[in-house]
Amino acid sequence: MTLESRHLGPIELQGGLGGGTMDALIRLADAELPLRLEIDFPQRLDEMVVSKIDIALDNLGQLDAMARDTILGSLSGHGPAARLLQAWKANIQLGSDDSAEAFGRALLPQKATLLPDGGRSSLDRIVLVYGIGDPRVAETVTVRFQEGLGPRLDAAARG
Amino acid sequence: MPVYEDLQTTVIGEMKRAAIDMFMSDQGWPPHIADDSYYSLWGFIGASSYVRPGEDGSGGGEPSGFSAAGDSMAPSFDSIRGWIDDLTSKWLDLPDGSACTPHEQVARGTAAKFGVAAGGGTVEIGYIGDRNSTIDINVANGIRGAFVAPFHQKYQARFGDVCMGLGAAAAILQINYAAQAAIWPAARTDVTAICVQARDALREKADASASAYGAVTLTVIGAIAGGIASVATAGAAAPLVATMVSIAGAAAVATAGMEAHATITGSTYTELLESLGEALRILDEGITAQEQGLATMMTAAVDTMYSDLSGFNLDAFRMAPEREDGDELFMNRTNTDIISSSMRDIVDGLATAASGFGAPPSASPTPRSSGIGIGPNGTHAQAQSLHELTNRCLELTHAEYERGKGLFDATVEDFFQTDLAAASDVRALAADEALSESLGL
Repeated sequence: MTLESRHLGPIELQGGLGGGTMDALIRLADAELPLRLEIDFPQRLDEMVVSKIDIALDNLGQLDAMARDTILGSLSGHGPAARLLQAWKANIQLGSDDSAEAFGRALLPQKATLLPDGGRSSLDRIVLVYGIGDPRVAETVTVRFQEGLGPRLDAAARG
Repeated sequence: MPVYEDLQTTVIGEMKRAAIDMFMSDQGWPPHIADDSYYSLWGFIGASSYVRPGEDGSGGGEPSGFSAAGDSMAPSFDSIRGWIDDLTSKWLDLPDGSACTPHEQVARGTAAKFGVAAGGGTVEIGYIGDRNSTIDINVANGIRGAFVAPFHQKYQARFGDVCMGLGAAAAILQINYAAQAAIWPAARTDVTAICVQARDALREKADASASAYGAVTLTVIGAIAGGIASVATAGAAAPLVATMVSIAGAAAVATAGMEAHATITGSTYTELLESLGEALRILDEGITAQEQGLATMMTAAVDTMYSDLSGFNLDAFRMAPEREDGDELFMNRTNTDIISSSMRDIVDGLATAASGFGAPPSASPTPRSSGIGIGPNGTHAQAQSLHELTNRCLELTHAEYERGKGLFDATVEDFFQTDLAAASDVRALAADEALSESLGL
């Protein structure tokens, strides 16, 4: 029996009983975004889990907006958001708008991870990684959406 | 800390919402982080949601925002609420035990009149016992004759035993009411503690924070402390009375070795609610065991009385015939006057005791929903039986003792030949001294 997502089509996992993944491309704001679906309990994968995948992907635009707001709310200090802001400022054309709003518009999601069945031991459900689409800038910011808690910025930069 | 009355007004409703929150959270639908009047997927995807129940646990379940028409969660919520109601509703109208106190006091007062005390109270010989001692001394000093021994045997010695027996019966009733008065406040405390623990456990799991839950100590176990169920008599107890005393003591060990703790435990809402059901079952076991101990105590007391009513009803003891070769009759006015007035005092004392003891309560003083304890009326039927039998024995003893005084007075007047009718009175009273077979109950 193959379960089918409205967004991802038939769910076919790589990996064994310890966990499975599926890679796909999804659309977000007119761009294609690599998505990795991580399933912690493949033997318990059912329509309920797939419906959660679909609800999450239905609302990707809202999640993107929440992620950007979270990043823009963390620009002070020396965390990853501040470092990305500095890197972006260092590389924009002289005289162009270097406001936070402009930075917000420059943020680009690079990849997404969806973990719909993590359970109480692992609270991440959606992880979005943002850069600024400039090959000279390697910095990224990772936003983790945790069950019951909402979007959180990673404190340390992760690959 | 909530009190018993809070269960109905707040705690049970809060428990229902906490269980529903946990049910939803366990499926990935916790309350929304920005508006906790809704459940949303993972708490942060707000577009699809279900209405959360109110603080009292009612309502909720309506879906909104789903791309496909979502089914209402209300039936699932109703089923959880119904489960909690099934477990708890019969516990919400427990008696508080205070209606037992007047009956305890009546029983205690009656026992005291007969030189018996329960629950560690001071034992005094009492008014009737005091007058009986006076009669004893005056008979020994001032009367000789064939009628003395049989008269003494029934109206002093056996009468003393009957008094102590009636006192022991009253003391056993006192124990029942004292124990019930102690059991129900403890039961209310315990059911409140169990429900609050269950509510808190459901709330904390729903918030995904780990907690350790200790056992709830049940204060109802041992509500019949050893002290309540002990009976003491002023002076040595006749064998039947000794039996009554040991019957009372047995009630105190009804809960020896019983589980005195209930634990709320579980990592899903179903496990937690099942442990709530188990905890309430353990509480009920403790209540039932103690009520059963009290019921057995009173039934055994009634059986003991019926086994030999002459130990509890003076009318059931036949006065022995006078010996033919007895001493010549001799009486002394000084002593006979004292004896007669003391007997008058005893007659009045018995009348006062009977009217004070009165009828048993018409309804149980500890009514509760069925499924708790030994029945909706608790130990009322057993207490009623013991009370009615004791009352009847007391009334018959009073009447018989008054007849005995008449026999004594007629014997005295016959001796001093002051009353020509006295001789025939003596014969008539002696003939009337037949046993009453039935108690007229």
